[in-house]
Amino acid sequence: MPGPLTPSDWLLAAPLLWLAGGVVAILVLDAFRPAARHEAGLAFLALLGAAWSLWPLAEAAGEPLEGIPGLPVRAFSGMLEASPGNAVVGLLCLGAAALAGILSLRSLCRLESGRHRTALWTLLLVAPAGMLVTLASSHFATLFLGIETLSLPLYVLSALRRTEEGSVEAGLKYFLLGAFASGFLVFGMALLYAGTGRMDPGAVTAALEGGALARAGLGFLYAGLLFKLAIAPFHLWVADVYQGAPTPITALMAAGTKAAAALALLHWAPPAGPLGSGAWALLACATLALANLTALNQENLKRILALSGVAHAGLLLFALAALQAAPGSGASVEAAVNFYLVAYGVSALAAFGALELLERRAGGHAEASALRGLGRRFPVAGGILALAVLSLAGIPGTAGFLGKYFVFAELVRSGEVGVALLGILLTLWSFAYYLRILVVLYMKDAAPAGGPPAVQDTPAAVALWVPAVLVVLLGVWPAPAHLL
Amino acid sequence: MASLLAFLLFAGLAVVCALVALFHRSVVHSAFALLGTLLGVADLFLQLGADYLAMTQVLIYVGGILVLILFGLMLTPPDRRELRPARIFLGLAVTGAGALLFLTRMDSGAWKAAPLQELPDLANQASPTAEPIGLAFLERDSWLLAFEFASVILLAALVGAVFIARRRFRVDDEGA
Amino acid sequence: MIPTAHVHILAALLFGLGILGFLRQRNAIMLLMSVELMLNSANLSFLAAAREQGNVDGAMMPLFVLVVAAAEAAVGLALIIILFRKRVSLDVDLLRSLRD
Repeated sequence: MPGPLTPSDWLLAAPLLWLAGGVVAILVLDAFRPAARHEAGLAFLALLGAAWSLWPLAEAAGEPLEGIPGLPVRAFSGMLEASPGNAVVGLLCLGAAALAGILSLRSLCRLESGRHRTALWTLLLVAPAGMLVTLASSHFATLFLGIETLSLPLYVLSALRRTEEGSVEAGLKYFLLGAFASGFLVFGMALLYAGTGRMDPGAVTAALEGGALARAGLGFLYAGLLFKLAIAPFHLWVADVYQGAPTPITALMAAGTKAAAALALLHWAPPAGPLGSGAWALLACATLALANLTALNQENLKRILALSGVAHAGLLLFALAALQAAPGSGASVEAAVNFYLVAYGVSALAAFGALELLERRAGGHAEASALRGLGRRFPVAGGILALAVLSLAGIPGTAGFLGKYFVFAELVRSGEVGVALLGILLTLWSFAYYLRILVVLYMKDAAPAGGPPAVQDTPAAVALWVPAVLVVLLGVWPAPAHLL
Repeated sequence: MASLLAFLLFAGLAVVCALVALFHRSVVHSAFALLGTLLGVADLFLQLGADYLAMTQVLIYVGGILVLILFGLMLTPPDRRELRPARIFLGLAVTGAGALLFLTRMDSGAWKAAPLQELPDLANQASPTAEPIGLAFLERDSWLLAFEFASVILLAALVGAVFIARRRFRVDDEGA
Repeated sequence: MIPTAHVHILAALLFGLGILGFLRQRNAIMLLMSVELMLNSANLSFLAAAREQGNVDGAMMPLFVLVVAAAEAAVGLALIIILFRKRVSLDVDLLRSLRD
């Protein structure tokens, strides 16, 4: 029935309108006043506006919103659907974009001319818009457009240091494999639609009862999604792309893309029943094992953290396995996943942010040999990186520990105790490479200071405290976040 | 029967062209073979009753993406094999003959008999044409959000592509 | 009227050719063209299904796929051109500066 937008439509469209409005404002002002340095201010205004308009939903964990029939909020007749927990993850994506921007203020923004800044800030607004649509997608159109809208800016942002071979290579690699994966995604959607006649998550349920066409489509769809999430057979690009991309952009990819893709996968996960939890558990274990195995002999800290991200994505699949094994556990599994994503997100932001600052002191290198002993010389950045690494490893008292705990608790509750034990063992195995980062940071024989002395970067140093404090806060007081 | 034959004809065209595109050594030849595939698919769209989509396919894929790919090819490898004079003359001869044919027959009336009404089944299918598509784009409970959001992705692609491919590498020190 | 199954078979064939091309080729532009082929085959499937089911949704989706394909081609070719300026080759097998 055609008609004006409803309050739910406005609620979910408002953050997108803020972000798109910011993009347009930056571009228009750039056309008329190319010399003015307005981009950063406008971009932060847009991000803040988006967060402000998302806040009512994030807050409404307990009670329904005024004028809106019920939670989760459905908008545009089911194109988008978001629960309060999803909104919190959305806030994480916006925060990741803001932190990437702050980290770029003194580095990426000064690489080239003013047009460069325009591109950087515009794309830093489009990427979170894509993430918001992806994580709330409940229609093929929003899923596909959301994933593409978050990917396209990241292809370009990865290649932002376009005079450096590694950066361009990262962008192109990410692009080629990403485009290949979206081919699978779209073909999967086409077959699902052909087999079931639906374009909403109900198509997945219907496909499991339907014919071969729809089942094949389901396989293609998951292949595309798992690529974005970097699950085992499709994780090979991650280390290269994370290494080659500028570190602030890597932080955005690690926290934002992963969260958006994971929630999309959860939205489109098959209901409990025919498929069984074995497939997901197997994928999860394989991903964890492969990521651990590869990470152990990496020299570059960015590569190690990238593989840690792969392992974290793998662990997330345990939640899907739990969902499969125990029908009706949807709400609590979703809460665990939301918390896990926020915990991993803030840890990854803190880790990559601190690494960026240390990297500048080491002349732009992230190899272990160049970063030796830097934790002693720069106690704040080094300390934050160490804290983030502890959280990624899952040491009690940090957000990362609770995130993992909630996921494994769901798994145990669903009756898969054996799988949970295996997962915990695999997680313990990963301590080896986390420990190695700490050893490198606080090694006795410090590396000689390389390159020109880095510029003092007060905004980045201050902004870095936000994820660092959140890592501790969520670790000791998870109540507000676990309401998700 | 006729419609099945037409389908097989254009499906064959699409597949053969795709094979040529993928297995020919020269990238430029591949790009032109892809043109054949895209046109074949456009015709199949027409046969499936999607006239609007067929036109969009021709305009965007053939007129936009393929031309973009050809530009990309021209801006990148100087593939020496392509520059053999004999081929250049052959190309010029074919193009010239085509242009001559077009110019001489332009107002002879031969072009007015476009066989649109002879296309199989087109008229009596309940075909998704421009009107329902246009309405679906702009209705709130249909595809409005996707339609609006597609513009964001196009804008981002525009900004990103322009930025990346720009030639100048200048360090900016105004105010730094 | 063309049987829907025929169209799906054709689409699967083209999709397979696209995958084959992507895995076999080494020129970055050829990889892009292979992806375009894959997207095209998905559009065919969508349309065949739309005709069978008689609703407009399946005819809408290909339009968005087209839009995304255009955006991807623009960004991809920009990346390819800048790679060429640095490397004077489009061979993706030479993309190996990111290693440990």
